[in-house]
Amino acid sequence: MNDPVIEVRNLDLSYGDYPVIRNLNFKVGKGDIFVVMGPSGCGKTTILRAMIGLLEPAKGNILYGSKDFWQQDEEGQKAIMRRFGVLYQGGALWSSHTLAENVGLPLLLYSGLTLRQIREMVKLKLALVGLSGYEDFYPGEISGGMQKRAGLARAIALDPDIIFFDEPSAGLDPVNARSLDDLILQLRDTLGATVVVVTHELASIFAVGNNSVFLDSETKTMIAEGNPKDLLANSRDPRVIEFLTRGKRQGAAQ
Amino acid sequence: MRLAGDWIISAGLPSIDVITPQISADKNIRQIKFDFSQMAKWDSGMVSFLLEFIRESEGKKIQVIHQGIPEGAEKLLGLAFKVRGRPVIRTVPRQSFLVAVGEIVLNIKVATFSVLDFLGQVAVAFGRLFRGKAYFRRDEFLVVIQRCGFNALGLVSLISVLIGMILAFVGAIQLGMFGAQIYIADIVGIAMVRVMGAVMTGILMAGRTGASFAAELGIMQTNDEIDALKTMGISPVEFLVLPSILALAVMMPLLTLYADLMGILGGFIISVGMLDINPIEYFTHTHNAVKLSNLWIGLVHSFVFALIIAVTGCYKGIKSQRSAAGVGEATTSAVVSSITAIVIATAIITYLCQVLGV
Repeated sequence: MNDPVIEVRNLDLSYGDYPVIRNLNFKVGKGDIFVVMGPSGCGKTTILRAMIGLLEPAKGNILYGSKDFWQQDEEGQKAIMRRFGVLYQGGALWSSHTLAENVGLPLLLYSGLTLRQIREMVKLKLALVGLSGYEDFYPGEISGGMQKRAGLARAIALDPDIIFFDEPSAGLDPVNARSLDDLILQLRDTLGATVVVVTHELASIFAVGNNSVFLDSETKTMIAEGNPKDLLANSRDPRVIEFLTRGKRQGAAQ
Repeated sequence: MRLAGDWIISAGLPSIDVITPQISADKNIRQIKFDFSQMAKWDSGMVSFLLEFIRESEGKKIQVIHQGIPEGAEKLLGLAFKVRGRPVIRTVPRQSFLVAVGEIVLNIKVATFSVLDFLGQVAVAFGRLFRGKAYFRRDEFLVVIQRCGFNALGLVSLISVLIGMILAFVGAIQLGMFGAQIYIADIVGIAMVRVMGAVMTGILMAGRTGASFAAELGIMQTNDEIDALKTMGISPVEFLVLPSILALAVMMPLLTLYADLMGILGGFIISVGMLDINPIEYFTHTHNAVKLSNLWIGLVHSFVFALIIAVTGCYKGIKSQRSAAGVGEATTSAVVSSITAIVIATAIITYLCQVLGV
């Protein structure tokens, strides 16, 4: 693997005293589409929250390049955060702002562009996700799928190095879910971004992922890692096989 | 056992108690067979009846012959009997009294730190604002101004006029005994301007604007909108709380002035309309009684209330649980806490004025 963009070392996560994840170790290489998968309730979203700086780990490190995120001061953390974009499960658009303002706000704050340039950039980003002409709509006036795409336009506003996706296909119909998957691949190829996807949607996992970790909710830790297709072909762990085949095959080893 | 007729939920179902005494009465029953030949329709109501019946019978070591049960119902029974994995038992830990008390004390500590942390963030945000470094959008600020100022005028007018009228009425009865009814103007004027205008506006705004701040921020929290701000490196306090506090701090004193006037108008209506006091005289009395210091004290009240309402509303909203019930709780708690704090603050300010002789 080339130099890891993100490295997670001995990570333990908990909500108060309640442990969610234990002893997590993985590396995400540049240009990877890295999938964090596992059954519902295994702590996928919790891992994402720790990686994007919303939940301080109980133990362990999360490194971006050579910088340990949770060892930085607030400014250092903000500097790292500015390098990534996040697409939340429901889009998480600011509902009192139009789509253009949503996408334009990060540009306004951090790019130093003129208002006119920002307007052009916003048009471009919205066009990239198929929402040309929706600049002046409020989030409440468009459909859930469109909100999600607008959220993606906001996430890629500053051409981030890393894009995080929380359940990208949740709540989307199959066609829209597929087109979002295609969009993820395109963004990786065109922007050269590294992508981290949290999902349990098998179609997405196989369509986009080239590296992954598999989390188990019983043992609260990772039990497999690697390319999902290889896992499907070679894994001997019954839990992984059962998940990846929708329960059709009960594990190669048995 | 014969089941006949319609066994559907909407037709009403017999309780299992109809049949269990018969079975218990006869100790020799070893097997039970069903006869469904006279049954017309069935739904899950019948399945639930059978399920309970079979469990009961098997508990008494009576064998139940499944033959004859409609095929679909048999499948449903199969699903219901198949327990997947370990049975789930929801445990609610029992706590001793001391543990509960300890936890309450610890929670108070956590809550205090959390409030102080929030206040610190607000202070930092204001510091950045004065140095011109904070994110601040005039349009947004003006929208909040309109929402918590202009839009509240109707409500404030109504309540203040009524309060003025009530003060006049209550005062009229007492002062009438001394033939000093003209002093109603003094009572209404001083009471409204010095404290009642500010307190009534404060309570109204706590219910109106404080609740709306809490609900709005709570729902933003639930929708990840606040997380989205944080991961973008924007301080939610700067972005959301600052405009709310500023807007309320500007509008509350203005609303209070307006409420004062409306209250005096209420007193005027009663005095002139019902008590036959000369309007000019009422005006002169009010003018002489209400000193500028009263006005300032009223405005200090309203400014303090504005901070209380805005900070409480925003704090409760930002700390809201991520669920519908959580947002409801945040809203309730914002209103209750603000009103309590308003009353306490009024008491403190009144005491201070007494000590200072203002």
